[in-house]
Amino acid sequence: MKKLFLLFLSIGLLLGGLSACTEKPITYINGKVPASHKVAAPVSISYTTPKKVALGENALVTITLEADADVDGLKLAVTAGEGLILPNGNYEVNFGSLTNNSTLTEDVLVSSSAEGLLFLNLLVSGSFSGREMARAGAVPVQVGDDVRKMLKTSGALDVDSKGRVLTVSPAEER
Amino acid sequence: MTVISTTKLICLLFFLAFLSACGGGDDGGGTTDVVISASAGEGGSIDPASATVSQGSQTNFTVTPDNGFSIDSVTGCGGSLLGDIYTTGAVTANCTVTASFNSTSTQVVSGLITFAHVPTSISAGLNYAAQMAKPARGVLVETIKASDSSLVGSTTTDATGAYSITVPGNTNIIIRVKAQMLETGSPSWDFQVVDNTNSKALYAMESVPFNSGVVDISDKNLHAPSGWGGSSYTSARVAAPFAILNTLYQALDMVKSVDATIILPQLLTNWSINNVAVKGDLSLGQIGTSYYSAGELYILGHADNDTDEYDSHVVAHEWGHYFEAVLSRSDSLGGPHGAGDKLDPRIAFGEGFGNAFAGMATGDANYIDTFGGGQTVTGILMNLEDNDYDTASIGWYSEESVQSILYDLYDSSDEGGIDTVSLGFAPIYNVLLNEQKNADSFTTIHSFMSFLKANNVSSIAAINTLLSYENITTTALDEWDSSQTETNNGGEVKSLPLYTLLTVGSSAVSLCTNGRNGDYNKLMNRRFLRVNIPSSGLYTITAVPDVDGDAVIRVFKKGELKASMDNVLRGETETLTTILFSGWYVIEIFDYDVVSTPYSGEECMDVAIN
Repeated sequence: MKKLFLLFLSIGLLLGGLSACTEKPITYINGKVPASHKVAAPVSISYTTPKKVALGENALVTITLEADADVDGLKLAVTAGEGLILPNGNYEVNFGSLTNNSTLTEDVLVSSSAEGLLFLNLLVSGSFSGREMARAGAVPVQVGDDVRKMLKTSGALDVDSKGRVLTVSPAEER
Repeated sequence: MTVISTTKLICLLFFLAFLSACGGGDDGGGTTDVVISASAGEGGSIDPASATVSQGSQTNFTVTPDNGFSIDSVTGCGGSLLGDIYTTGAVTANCTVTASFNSTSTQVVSGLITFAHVPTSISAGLNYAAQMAKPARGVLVETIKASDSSLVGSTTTDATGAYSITVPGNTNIIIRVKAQMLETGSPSWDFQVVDNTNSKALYAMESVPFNSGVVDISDKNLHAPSGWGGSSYTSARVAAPFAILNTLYQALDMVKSVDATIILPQLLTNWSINNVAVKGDLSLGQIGTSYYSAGELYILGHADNDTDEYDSHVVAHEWGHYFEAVLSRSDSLGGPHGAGDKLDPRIAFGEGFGNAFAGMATGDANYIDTFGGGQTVTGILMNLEDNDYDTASIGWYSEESVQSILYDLYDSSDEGGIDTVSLGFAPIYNVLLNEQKNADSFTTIHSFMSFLKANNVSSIAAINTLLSYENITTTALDEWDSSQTETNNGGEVKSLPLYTLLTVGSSAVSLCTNGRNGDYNKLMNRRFLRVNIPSSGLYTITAVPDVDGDAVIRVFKKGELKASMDNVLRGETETLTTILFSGWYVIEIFDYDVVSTPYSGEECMDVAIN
């Protein structure tokens, strides 16, 4: 009886394991609605950052650039968005040449003077087969719990006679 | 003599005491007062302002319109109006009488609606010093009563930004301009600019309240300012949604010029000052980049990072994707791309069309995208007339080649020896809406050009000159290039033919993929087979990968995904059994690792159908 139980358990575990092996995130390829992007320099930007920091606490951001084509004169401009502090101010670093599929990283230490979702602004530029191209990126740094605290609005919310929500700003009268 | 027992006497006394308690009320009559309030809208008065009457009573109010007004209606408390006397019903509870009035005259209010346009420069981003007022064309203008926000009337601005609308006289009015272009019937469209970080609220600007008076007003001009304060944005960026609409107006104009009865589905353009270049929660503005997807545009607006509201080529490019998706057909995979990339031919065509269309719609061959602190960096500059930039990457897989060809087909500015054709937009539009939309093959430059040449026989020589300059076959006979005349393999010796013929029941054919040009949507990531199904029935497609390969099969009919399979372990045979109907199908095969991760190796597989 015990042997039979172990046999069934083994079969169960084997099937479970096989099932796990075949579960792949194929939605990346098959299920996703295509998003047609604007033209950009062929450099991928990714980052790591603490999930959340307290107001004024230091946070280490690691930026990774991956070249999707050979590039010369690769530059990264780093600027602090509203509420974020770069101890030595905004800066630009020139990485020189990078070959296709190779990566490099840049560590940035930031602090904050406000709570909310703050952004480190990135501008990557370089020469790709002789053509100067750039792309923007940003690193979100969450300070405190309220991610909407730094969101801004362009006008005052109102509702029109048909119930449509509006964001209304004053016009300049000329 | 009647004798009352002691018990009965006590009961009688209690009963009398009970009746006494029920009597209540100071009036001693057993009735209650009710209060009737009265209110009057703009243009008159009602008297008295309130009245207190006994429950069940009626009372009268006198309604008096101001000079130039008449009584519109009096309602409440179940009453009726006779002349200027309103008599309530028999009121049983507190209630309100409301009088409203109509102006007996009307006035016409007219003016210009403009927005601050900030031009781009070819070397230094946005040029705020050169900003100018431009007409807000085709936008919705509404008049509302200041007193109760009720809608009085609406119109749209004309091609000069002018509007004219009739309003009641002597009435406090607000002019409200919505960031919306709306036309119903044939043609029709509904383009709205909304804030994806704020309840999808529709952007609008409005005047301060003013009295419409007794004479027409012809100079009620409203302007949407940029909010630029000299070195940064210092006030509301009111102009931005109208700048976006101005580009949509240009794009629409281009299409209307060849199809006056065009009917377009609603398009929401999501723009916000919070829209930033990182992917994440759209309601927080984390849109990643400006893009089109599933009937909506998302446009960047985060200052000092990347703003696109004034980058009209970017907006027109994305509108081109909308147009292609809703009126023609886009088989594009989407995803990142750039000039110089060697792309899957579907995305090369879609993005090349978007770039070319941006130049056509804006009337400017310099495609510009601005970035950076103070928006001072011109980070993308493509001259659509520049046919011979980067000869190493021209071909059917290049969006630059596609954009150059399409723009040269359209424009009237010819370059000797390269561009000797000026077809205008109509032939391009006709192919997109007809043959390309119904193509059995994928939508690529090969399919487009085969259809265009068939429709424009007298221009074939000139069209071939353009193709030849971009190193694309000039002798393809059909959308598949079935005679395999294409010789430009993009430096990939196994990239041709573009479609390998697969026959039901025949031996397997071998195809190879690789990630040398990048992943997801690049040249050689995915390979195509074409198969003509002889009769409807159940068919089985197999893909036998290399020992470490992970094959994926997808089956398309006229660009529409009909079946897919990715279900086995690495190195095992992928099998897809499905019902297919007679006619042409495209089978796309790829290796999972090649398309989903940076992977420069080669993966091959043998494909058969039975």
